[in-house]
Amino acid sequence: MSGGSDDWTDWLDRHGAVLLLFARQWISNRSDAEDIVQEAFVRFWRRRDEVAEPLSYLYASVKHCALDRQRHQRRQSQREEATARAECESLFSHAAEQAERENAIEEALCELPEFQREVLVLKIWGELTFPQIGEALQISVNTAASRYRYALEKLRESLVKESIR
Amino acid sequence: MIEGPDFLELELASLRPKPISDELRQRIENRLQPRRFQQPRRAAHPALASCVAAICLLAVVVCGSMNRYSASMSGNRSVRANDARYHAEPTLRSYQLAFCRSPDEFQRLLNQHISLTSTTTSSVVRVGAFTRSEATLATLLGDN
Repeated sequence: MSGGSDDWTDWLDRHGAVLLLFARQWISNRSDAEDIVQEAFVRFWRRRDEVAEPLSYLYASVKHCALDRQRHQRRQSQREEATARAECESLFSHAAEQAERENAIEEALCELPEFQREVLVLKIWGELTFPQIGEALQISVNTAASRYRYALEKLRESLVKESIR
Repeated sequence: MIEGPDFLELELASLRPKPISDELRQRIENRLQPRRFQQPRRAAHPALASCVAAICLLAVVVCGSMNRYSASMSGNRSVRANDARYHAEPTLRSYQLAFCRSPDEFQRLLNQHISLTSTTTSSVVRVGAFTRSEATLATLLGDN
């Protein structure tokens, strides 16, 4: 099995935080995102022996569950969604001295188009290869690589603008 | 030319996503643990079914054996009762039964009754066997 042992706690220790980060690309509320991770992880663990690429399947499950939840949430009013976004926690554990820079990165990350951001999260924090990202997101390896490159460029531009302000 | 990771990539990678809560870990454990305990129970189902099937089979075999045994016992009892009945007295019925079985059986019964007559009263012989007069016998035998 690529990327882990047969003990579910090892998998959760290794990937839990990034799974939560990945889920929050669609579900901003941390509590709801944890529900997504729980559902996706349990589903993944029960079927891990049936899939060729377990790690890709794990992230694909998170995305699937998150999009499912997002569809339900769309039924709620715009006002409720805006409130939820305002109340959402930050994505990363900030060190006090770097808080300003990291807040800027987080904001720039949130401004990225969803299809670029998800590739960036899987590559940087999930440490997936481009073929694994392609498998998880059902896109080609070249598409995954180009989306990653564009995401980095856009992020870089946003951070330069932010530093000029 | 192979490019190394740029500064932004390194900076992004240095950010650590927030860890999952203990509550989430506990919820996942609750979802996954029961399956571990269910496995032996699931494995026990075929064993339990096999035991029940074996008990049923054993019951059928034992009942069948008992029926055959009781049938044979009742058969033996009736044969013995019949034997006792037709052996007891020299009646027409007893001779008919013996003759139906075999000539040897008939002869054996006849011998038995003859031996009985030697130890019992003569009336039995007269009533049960030969009560004809000497003249009748002679006629029957064609001596006349």
